[in-house]
Amino acid sequence: MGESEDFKLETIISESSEKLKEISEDTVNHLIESSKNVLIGRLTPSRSRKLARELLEKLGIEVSE
Amino acid sequence: MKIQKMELSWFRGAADSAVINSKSKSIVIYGDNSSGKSSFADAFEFLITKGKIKHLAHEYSDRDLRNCVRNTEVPLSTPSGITITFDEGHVTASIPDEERVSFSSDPPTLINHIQSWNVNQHLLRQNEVSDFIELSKSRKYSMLSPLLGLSYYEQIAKNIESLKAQVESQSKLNYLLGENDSLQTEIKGYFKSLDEQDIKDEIRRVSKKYSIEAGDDICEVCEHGLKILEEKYVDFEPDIRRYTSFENLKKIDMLKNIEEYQVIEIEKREIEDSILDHRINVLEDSEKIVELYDQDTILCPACGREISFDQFKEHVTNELAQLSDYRQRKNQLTEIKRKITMDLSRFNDIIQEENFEKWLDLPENAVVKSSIEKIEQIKLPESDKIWENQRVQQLQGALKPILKQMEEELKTEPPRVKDLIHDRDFFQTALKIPRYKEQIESITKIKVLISSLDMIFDNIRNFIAEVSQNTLDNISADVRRIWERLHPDDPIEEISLVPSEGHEKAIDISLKFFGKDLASPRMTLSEGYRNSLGLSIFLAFANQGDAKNHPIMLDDIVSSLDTNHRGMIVDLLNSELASRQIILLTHDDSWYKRLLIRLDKTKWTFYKLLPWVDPQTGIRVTPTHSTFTEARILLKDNPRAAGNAVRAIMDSTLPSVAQNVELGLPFISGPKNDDRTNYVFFTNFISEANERFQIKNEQESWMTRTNAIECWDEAKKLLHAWSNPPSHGGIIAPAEVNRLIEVCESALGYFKCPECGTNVWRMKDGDIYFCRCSKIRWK
Repeated sequence: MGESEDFKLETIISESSEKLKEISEDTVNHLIESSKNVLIGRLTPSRSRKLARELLEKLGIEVSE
Repeated sequence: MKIQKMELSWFRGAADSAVINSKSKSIVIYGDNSSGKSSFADAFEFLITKGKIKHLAHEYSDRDLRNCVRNTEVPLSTPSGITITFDEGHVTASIPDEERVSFSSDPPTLINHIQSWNVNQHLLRQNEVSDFIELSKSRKYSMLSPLLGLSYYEQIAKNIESLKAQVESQSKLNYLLGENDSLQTEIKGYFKSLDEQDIKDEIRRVSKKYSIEAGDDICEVCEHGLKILEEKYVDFEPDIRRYTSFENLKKIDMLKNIEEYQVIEIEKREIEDSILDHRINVLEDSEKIVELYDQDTILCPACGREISFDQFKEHVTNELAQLSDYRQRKNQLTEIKRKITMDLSRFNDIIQEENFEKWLDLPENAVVKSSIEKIEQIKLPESDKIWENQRVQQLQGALKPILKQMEEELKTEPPRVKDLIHDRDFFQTALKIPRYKEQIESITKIKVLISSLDMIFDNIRNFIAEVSQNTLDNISADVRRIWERLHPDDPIEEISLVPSEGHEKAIDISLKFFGKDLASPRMTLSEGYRNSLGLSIFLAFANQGDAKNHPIMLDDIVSSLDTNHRGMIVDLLNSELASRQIILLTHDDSWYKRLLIRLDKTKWTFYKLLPWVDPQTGIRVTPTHSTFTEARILLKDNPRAAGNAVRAIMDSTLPSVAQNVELGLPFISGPKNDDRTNYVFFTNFISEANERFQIKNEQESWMTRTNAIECWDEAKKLLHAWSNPPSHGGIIAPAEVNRLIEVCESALGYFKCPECGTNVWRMKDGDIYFCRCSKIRWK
């Protein structure tokens, strides 16, 4: 099972992140990159946590351990 | 994709070997209750679901399931086994006593393919026929979700949702918002505007009082200000310094927090019952399981039954929602208790300052001193523990005289002290402004990220809604078509599966009952209707995607249907489902005989299971090619049984034939209507056949099929004689029974075309029935 012709996660992410792009294009690119692997499988809590931290760091937010 | 053969070995009711050889045809397996029919359904389910059988899961966990699928008398070290041979190859399950169940296939990829099937599209059991109708809306969605082909998209939506929750938690957004809110309130207490220039002007104004030259770096200015104020404070006399301690104590506001605690405690108690705390702990643990668990099913912590994970999650969410008021109070109490604990610690610190020593020794302050001593002895438990009301009241009681006295003292506070404290707080607050601004910037960024994730989630859900609507439309059209075949004249119309309003993951059944919208089919429809609707929905599911090319198994699904609707199901098998491979299990004798007569033998194979005796003997399968053949086998050893078998064949066959050609029979009230003898049927066939039953001659003219009438007449007389005990009460000659077999077989044979071999009711044109080649007809 995979994406159909009518469903492109990358496009959905890009179109839904216009405001985020203005703040940090890096964060949007990281999210798009994740749409090719992490986001399309079963996302375990630890992977989800890791991705959240990566996105926050790209935004310049300090994440304490 | 069709099944050629099913073989069971020491699985469920089977002993060494129980084989159904279908050669890719559809199959009817008939047997009394407990003859082992459902062992074949269990085997089919076991293979598809990688070793799970839903109706056994109530009592057995995965590990224990092995104990109940293995025949109790299986020889030592012998695995139980299932092999199903398809046109494409065979798949096997081996169930050993100790080791894990193993699945294999030839070709190797076949097993993965079979185990990718959804059992809800392939197997329907008697007690599950109306299950779908009775499910909650969200469970209907959960069941349909894989059928809708949405699992992939649902997973992505779930991932985005989980990512959003992690962003909120990792960024500590709620804490940041709370802290920022407090900072804002504090800053606004000293600054009318948060504009940078206004802030600088205000700092300059206060700095001027202490002759501080205000530069651009506001932090530097404030720190300088605080240093000057500290020097001034040190220069105060001890009695004057005490006023600053009073001011510090005033800021603590412990009484207000205690009063708030008391109000919330009363509210909490009002909605509390003795098991709430226990339930919350269990549910909060369950909530953690829900967050971390990644399987489709879970064993219910309460009853041990295997339930769908979505079902469990729904249950936990609903329970927590019901307790939300209580939880909110509980969390508020924990927070306020934390504040009171901190207040108390700060209070004790201030009261220990040397400024107080002499003052407390004054006779007029004796009450205050004793109150302070009481407070020092009060030990409050941790904030998540229960606090005794008595202790809180003691604290409150001891605080009041201290604060009262403090208010009195502050009335005589010199203005210079008041100004100093105000300006000290002003500088301290001003120092927090850069942090406040940084926080606002972070919060804005986090909120934009969260709002992007929200939008991504919404767009995925919109896509899912669109796809599921299209698929639901297809399923609904199939359900309506099948329903109309089963209930052509019934007042239930416009059946549809529809997304439930206001719920993302919920599906409802809508229909019109006597022209009116029906809110709840499961409450209104009779059991028979519910089962018919359930069957229609199952067949519609089975018609979706690749499943439409797979075999389906129907285990005793007609139990609650009347004769008429059972007939409609046969019509359905011969029309809508003619190209599907169906495995039909039944214990119903009359239904089985009707199937024997009406189903096309070129497409169907019939098996009969003999009564199950013991585990060593196991399931006994006998093919049912022709019951006349069985009668001939019996003839040699038991001519009476052979004759009775023929009579039974005719008794069960003629009513169906009569129904197929719409033979006019006068209605007899009560059960007698269904108990007509073959004599009555033959009498009517013979009287109507002169006018209605015809065959084309060589000149293509229609002639009455007189040899059929002569044969039926002889059959009628022979059967009548057989039914009359005195006529065969003595010795029965095998030749007599042999004649009965031959004449009756021929009598039924006349309903078939001598050229194409199909029954005379194969086709209908207006009011006339024809065989396939139109050589014979029944007008």
